[in-house]
Amino acid sequence: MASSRLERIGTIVTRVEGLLLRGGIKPDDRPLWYDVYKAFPPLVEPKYARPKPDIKPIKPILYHEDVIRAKFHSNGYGMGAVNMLSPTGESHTKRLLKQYEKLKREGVLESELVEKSAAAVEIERQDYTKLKNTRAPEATSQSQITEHLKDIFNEK
Amino acid sequence: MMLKKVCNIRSACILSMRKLSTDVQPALLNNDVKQQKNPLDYPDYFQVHNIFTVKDLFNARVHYGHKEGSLNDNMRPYLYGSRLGHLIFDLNITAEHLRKALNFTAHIAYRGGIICFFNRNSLNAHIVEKTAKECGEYAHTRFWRGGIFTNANYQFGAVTRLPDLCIFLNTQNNILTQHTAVRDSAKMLIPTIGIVDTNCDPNLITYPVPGNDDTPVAIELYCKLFKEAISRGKAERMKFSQENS
Repeated sequence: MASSRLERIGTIVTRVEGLLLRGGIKPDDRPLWYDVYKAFPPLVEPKYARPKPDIKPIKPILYHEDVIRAKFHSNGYGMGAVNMLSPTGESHTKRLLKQYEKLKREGVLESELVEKSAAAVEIERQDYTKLKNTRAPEATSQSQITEHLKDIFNEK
Repeated sequence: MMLKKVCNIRSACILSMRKLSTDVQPALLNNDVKQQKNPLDYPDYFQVHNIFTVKDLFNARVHYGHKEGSLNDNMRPYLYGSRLGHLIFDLNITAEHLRKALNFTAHIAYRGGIICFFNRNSLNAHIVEKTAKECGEYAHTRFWRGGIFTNANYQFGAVTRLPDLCIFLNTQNNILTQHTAVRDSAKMLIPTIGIVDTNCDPNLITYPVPGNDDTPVAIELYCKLFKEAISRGKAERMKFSQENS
């Protein structure tokens, strides 16, 4: 097919249109995508030599609680382990923030808030691990595993 | 409003039969066949708007861009902001672009076009190739030998039909250079769809979709969406050929 290979001039459509207009390709031989493009043109013309958009400063994304977050981090409390496999789980920082808000509502002094909420979250975490350990299934005890291993090659 | 537009279009579609006489739909000129509706007259004939929601994009981490330093200025209009140095895409804009791209894909599949997927990130190569296989289309995820498009007849030793649409799941070879196929598609008058991250250049891509092009979850989502769009187009094509055989 006759076509211009100068991709920096115009767009693919203007180059096809030029060929159609001047008889470089017959109207029946037009590319398969041509009608689709004409019916649904892209939001921005895909021109290589398009002028650069206005350079506006990028909006910073900040939240009100970032101030409190910064307080925890500067005292060395922000970094807890995160379970990346469960997107619903709360992060360590979020738990700290919740505790902070709760204690603030209870009227704890501003100077003690960070330390106290960090301590509360630590106790919460210890309780949780204790609960998890006591709730561990019995089947994993050593004797049962060895029992199971003895039967492994027996025919059923 | 939209419904009214569709009704008007329906009555007018009889007049536009001539537009359909492409090489893939030759049977349409027969006047004995009952009047067919032209998919191009509908704003969203394949209903691609319901394949995904903005929430799905968010869950697939499509909004994460690269750091501010690597920003390409042409990507600025698609940004929402910067979270502590990391750029975040505006998913409303992304969704609009993605719907356009999916609609275009479905129409090309409906017209029997060849679609080729591209990706140069080895982490995501397998899923891209698998998707292409499942769609019954093609993929190129390996090193790009120069001239595959521009010198095809010589390289393959025969007259070669090039793809009618190239879908780039990432448009970069590595962090610095753009995939040569982006340029070569533009040269050979092949439209392109490309997922462009904040460090990519969207100018040569016909339908750019601003979004994260690195995370496997995001690539998985794009693959799922494009596969669905292609299968909708192909199903409609099958229905059309059965009705007219």
